[in-house]
This record gives sequence, structure tokens and C-alpha cells, in this order.
Amino acid sequence: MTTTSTRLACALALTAGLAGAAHADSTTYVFLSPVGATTTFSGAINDVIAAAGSFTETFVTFGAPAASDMTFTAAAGTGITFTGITLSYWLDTTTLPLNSATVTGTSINATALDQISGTYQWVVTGVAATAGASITGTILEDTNIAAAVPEPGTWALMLGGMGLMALTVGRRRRL
Amino acid sequence: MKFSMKSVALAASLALLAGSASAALAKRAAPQTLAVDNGLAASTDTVTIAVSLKVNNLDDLKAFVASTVDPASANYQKFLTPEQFAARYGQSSANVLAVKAYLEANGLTVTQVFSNNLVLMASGTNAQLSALFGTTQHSFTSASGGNFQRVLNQPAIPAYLQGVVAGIHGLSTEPRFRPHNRQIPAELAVVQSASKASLSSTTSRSTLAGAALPAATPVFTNPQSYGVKQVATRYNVDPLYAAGYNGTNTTLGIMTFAGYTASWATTYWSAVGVTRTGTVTVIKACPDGTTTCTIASTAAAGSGETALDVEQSGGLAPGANLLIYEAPNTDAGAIALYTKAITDNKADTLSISWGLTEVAYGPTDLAPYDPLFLQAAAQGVPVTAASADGGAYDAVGLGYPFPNYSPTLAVDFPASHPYVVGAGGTTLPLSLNLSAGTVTVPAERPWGWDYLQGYISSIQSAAYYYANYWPVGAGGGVSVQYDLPAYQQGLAGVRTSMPGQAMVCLQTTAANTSTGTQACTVGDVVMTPLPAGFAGRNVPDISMNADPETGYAVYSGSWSTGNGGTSFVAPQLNGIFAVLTQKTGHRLGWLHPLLYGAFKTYGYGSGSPFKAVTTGTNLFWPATNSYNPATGIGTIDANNLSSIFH
Repeated sequence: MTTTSTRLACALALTAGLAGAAHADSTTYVFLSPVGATTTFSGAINDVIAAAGSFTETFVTFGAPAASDMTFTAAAGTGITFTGITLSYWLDTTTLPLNSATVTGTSINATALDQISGTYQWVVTGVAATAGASITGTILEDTNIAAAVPEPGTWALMLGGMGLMALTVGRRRRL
Repeated sequence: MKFSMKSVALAASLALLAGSASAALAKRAAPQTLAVDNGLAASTDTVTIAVSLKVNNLDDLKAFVASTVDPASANYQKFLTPEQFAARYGQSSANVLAVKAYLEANGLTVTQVFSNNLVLMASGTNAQLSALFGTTQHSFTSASGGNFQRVLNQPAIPAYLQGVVAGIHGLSTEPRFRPHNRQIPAELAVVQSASKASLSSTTSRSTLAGAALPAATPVFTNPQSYGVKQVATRYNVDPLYAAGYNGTNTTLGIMTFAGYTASWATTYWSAVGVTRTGTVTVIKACPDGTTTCTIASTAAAGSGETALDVEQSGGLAPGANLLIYEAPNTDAGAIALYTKAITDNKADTLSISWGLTEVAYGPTDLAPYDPLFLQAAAQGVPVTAASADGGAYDAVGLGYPFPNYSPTLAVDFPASHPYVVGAGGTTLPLSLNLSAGTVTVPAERPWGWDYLQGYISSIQSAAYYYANYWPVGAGGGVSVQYDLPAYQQGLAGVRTSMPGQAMVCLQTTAANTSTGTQACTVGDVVMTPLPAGFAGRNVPDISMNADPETGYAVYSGSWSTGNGGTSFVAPQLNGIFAVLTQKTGHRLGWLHPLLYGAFKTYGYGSGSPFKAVTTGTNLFWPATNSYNPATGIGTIDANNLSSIFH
């Protein structure tokens, strides 16, 4: 279940399209360490965008044995706007379904459940206003990570809440 | 005879599907162990190579092998002699002589021509080999300090030879085959036997791997110290003994890359109470054709492997004559070993407990083994191989430790060959009363030390567990070198290869000579992705107890306990097959159609030769109430198994 905000994504994609032809794509290899005595593996992301413009950053890591669930969280440095995230096996163009993915301009929070051990790549797209800004975050894996998949009842609450937000935004705009 | 093949035609058509090396790995780099490249090897250094010749009508050979185990065929149980095999499937003597003459005309010395007319061994200097095959030979120093040579490019077959020669092999002299035995780490044994509350954080992996447990003469009825009599009882060989079958008038062969001391086995047999009547003979399979080549016989070289192979097989078949084929641990040595053991045709059943992850073989490395294993089958000789001890992750044990390297699912050769019986491993039910808690395995399961993960992590850390206790378990999975053979097609539980299987360095790693760890820099690619969804040969075929925690005593100059590994299962099956050969009254032949046919007939029901293993994993593949890549068909009941042979 993908919960990406479609409207925001479209807006961000348009922004990306206007950002010029510069690309500073790169691949970062993310080492995950076992954490304490748990089944958790964790690794930090700290990736510097080398040039202004749209970018496609690839984060290569492993799917840990006996740690089938994965999360990818990232925060954008100054001037970076995220537009999307995908997961696939390394060097494979077929994307794997995400159980949840929330991409705002400044943050990413994605979850993929029930993965096997192997070599994977998270691919993050976005636009950098200037060179030198960083993407920071974490890749986390464990045997049982709760995905941000809302229950049906939660959906109703969320939709209600979104309606309220829309009303609030509308009211503010009217002000 | 109840297996399912109905006709020669069917058998032949099915056989054509089996045993062909897949092109799945073509153009993929095979991972190689770290070694310092010292540059061009001396041009005057002499290397012995193997020259494999093309099989005369491979498809017919496969069909013939299938027909020998088909009761509807006129060829049923009519196994070939090596001479008959050579005449039908080898090259003509004229062609063999022409190849020999050509090699000699180019300065090489042909040291052996095997009588199967499919393999020649030849020696030459690097200058001669380079001139003839266009190769570049470099000298290397291994992480452990040993020197060897490795060829940097594929040898080109001279145009004159291309109609007859299949391949040039053995230019690399690296000792890369590994014995598949394990031992309980000494630190864990201490925790089990004393009051030590925590494992040493400074204990190195080499210490873990090489630890010898202190033991006087073991109590063979205890787990970790089991002897062959306990094996016979557990797998129901005893009724066969009671009926007078113990391997008498049969010969079993052990193939190995390390020498040993003969008195070790006799000490073992005496201690466990086995009275052997069969003979024991050591045969050197020297690539240079002599009987004087050096076979390493130190513990580090694997003498313990040879000892346990002989002790287990000879102990389970006390009436069988034993042939111990020894060869140097090199690529040429391996081809000489298999070729001699098979072409001698003295052994009724063969086993090997050494191997190498199949993904470490280059695209042409495996080609010479197809006709050899087919030859064994055509002569009626089952060949059994240990499926290795790295669980589902056979390549990780090659020196690419997780998590510095991404983990990769892989299986081991020769167990992955469709004409070799892959011998897998289980853990027997156990309860370990450790100083910081109890570890329990309630039912027989695939051997995999994931059941120790919670305990090790709780008293040390998860990182320590992964660094020192992972991956340890029974080898098994899906081959990406060999297509799914006919006997596994349509079988519930057979799997295809998993996606995402590649190996990349994720943390810069220093070489560690004591652990064999390969050095790398972040981003180094060891293996590009292996084929996903590949319908490959599933390994293993059958399993027996292999976990050191429920394992065995070995005598190799002194007693040690807590030994295990699929290394035990291969010679145990070899011994059992020798007993079955005596009862059957003739060689057993190509076993796979018989085993899988019997499984389709009996399942796990009454009288079945097989017992299901239904819980646990080999660190990835789950055991199920069907065929599975963790334990294969399951464990065996030898007495029931004897009923499928006629």
C-alpha cells in the first residue's frame, strides 16, 4: 500500500522538470550493523549531492538474513526537494512493492515488508537547488516492522482528518 | 521395481533434461579468493594440466544411463566396464594419440592418458603452456602465505585440437577445495561444560573453527560423541546387519585431498567396537601420473577430513574393502582424482566430503565433470558428496563475511551436480543446558545454528553471533549452474533461484589471514546478480544428522568430540550404500531416479525409506512435509531403502 501524497508528488515532479538538466547521480553503499542483542540491523545515510539540479541517488544495501522488513527514512538538507523513492534488487530495474511510502519535499519514510536476504537498492529522486547539500537518514531492518498501513477504520479517521485539514486550509486561504 | 519411469524412450527423453551444465553463469565473474599477485610466474615453472576430450554422443550417454535403472529397458542393470564406456563414449584411440602427439610436439609431456579416452594429463613449462594456449600465468601468495599460480585468461584451444578437445583445465594451482566438517567452538563447549557466563569477546574465528575439544575416549552414546553404531541404529541399518549384510564383497571409495595416518581409523574402529574384515588401500591420484606426488597430511590441510571419512564409511560397512583415493588440492588434482577413482572402476560406491561453492567455478571449469559423473553412473557407481556447511549461504564461507559483504544464496559443487547424490544435514532433538540458559531443539530439523542466535546474542551480541556463528548449517538450495533434472521436475517443494543474489562489499574490510577473510573496499563487486527464478537442480537429495551439537567423535591422532558437518553424511551414506550393494547383489546404479521414484511411491507413509523433516530452516530454506532445499527428501530408513533395489 503506497500512501504517497499524489498531489504533492505531481507538484514536486513538475518542479523537478523545471530544474534544469544537471544531474549528479551517485551510488552510496550503506553498511548495516546488528544492533545489540536484537534482530535489528541499522545503518546511517549521509549522502552529499554533488551538483545542483535533479538527482537520482542509489543506496545499495543488503536484506539481512532473518530480518525481513525494511524501512528507509531520510531528511533533506537545505535546498533539496525529494520527489520519489523506489526499492528493487541491486541492478534490477523492476521495482518491488512498498507497503508504505510517504514522500514529502523534505522527508521520506518508506517500508517494505517480507523481503528476503539479498542485495537491494533504494533509489531516491529529487532536486537540489545547490551543490553540497546532504541527504541524511537511516535504513532499518528487523523481523517485524509495523508498516504504516492504516486499518480500514483508520482510513475513515484519516479521510475525515484530511477533510478537516482541507477545510482548515480552505478557511485559512479565505482569511 | 516401483519407480515411475515406464520406458526407455521416456527415460531417454527425461535424461536429456538432466545433467546439462546451464549457461546461467556464462559471462559472470567467479569470485576468487584474495591473494597477492606477484606478477608473471617464472616461465620455467612446470604446471600439470588436464585436457578433457569431447564425449562421443553425450545425449546417447545420458539416455543409456537412464536406461540402466529402468526395469523396462533391455539395458536394465547392465552397467558398462570402463573399456566399454571408452569404446562407446570416449574418443577413438587414434584421436587420443593425435592429441597426445600434438601436445608432445609442442613441448609438453603427456603424463597420463586415462583409459576412458576422455582425459589426458600433461606437464609443461609456463612458457610452453603460454605459447600453446595463449595464457598468462601469474604467481600469487595466498592470505595464509602459500604460493600458487593462477591463469589470468581462458586458455584457447588450438585449432588443430578443437574437434576433439573439450577444454584445458588445471592451469591454476590454488588449493581451493574445502573439507565440509565443523566443530563446536571451544568457547561454546566451555559454556556448555562449565560455569562461564559469557563468551570471550576476543576469541577469533579461527580459534572457533579450529578448536579441538579436550576429550578422553568418548562415550559414544552421548550427543556430540556419537559413534557409527549410533548412526546405524538411528537410521535403521541394524536390521541389515542382523540379516548378515555388512558390505562384504563390496568396495567403497573415499575421494579426498588430504592424507592421514592409517592407525587413526583402526584406533577409532577398535574404540567404537567395530570389527572390520574389509581391507584398506590408499591410492594416489597424482596429476603427473606418478605415485609419488605430495599429498598434504597436516590438520590444516584436512587430514581430519580423510580420517573421519574413512572411520565413518568403514565403520558402517565393516565388511567392505576401502579404497582411499588421494590427490593434491588443485584443479588438476581434482580432475585426476575423479577420473582415476571412476575409471579404475574398483569402487562400487564413491563419496567425497570436499567441495567448493559452485559460483566460484568459471564457465568452463565444470565441463569435464559431466562425462565423469555420467561414466560413474554408466558403470553403476553412485557418487555422493557433502552439501557443505554454510547453510543456504555457501559463498559466504569462501571468505566474504556478512555483514561486511552482502549475503548470497548459493550451493556447493559437486553436490549440486545432477548425477551426484547431495548429502545434507540435520540437527537431532537436543536440550543444551548452558550456563546462561537452555537451548532446546524439540524435533529433528535442518542443521542450522540459528537456534543458537538468541543465546549467543543475549550473552554477547548479535554482531558477535554473525561474526562467529553464521552461516553455519547444512548446505542446500538451488543451483544456478545446472538445470532442474527430470527426477525433480513436478516435485512438490522444488524451488527456483531467488532474486537479488549478488555480493557487494559494504564495509571496507582488511584481509585476515587467520580467518581467510577477503579484503575489500566499499563498493567492490564480488558477484553481479545471479539468475533469478532459475529452474535449477535442487540440493540436497537426502540428509542425516550433521550438527556438531548432536555430532560425532573423531580420532585423528587424539580424540575430539563435537564434530559435525555434512562431511559425515557423505561417507555414512557411502558405507550404507555398500551394505545395500551387498544385499542387492549388484551395483546400485544411478540413484536419483530410484530415490525420487521411491519417494513418489511411498511418500512418508508406512514402509517409506524416507522420514520427513518438517520444522526449521538451513538459515533460509524451510523444511516442509515434502521435498525441500533444506533437507531434500528427508532422512533415511536404510532397511526400508534396501527394498527399492532389486
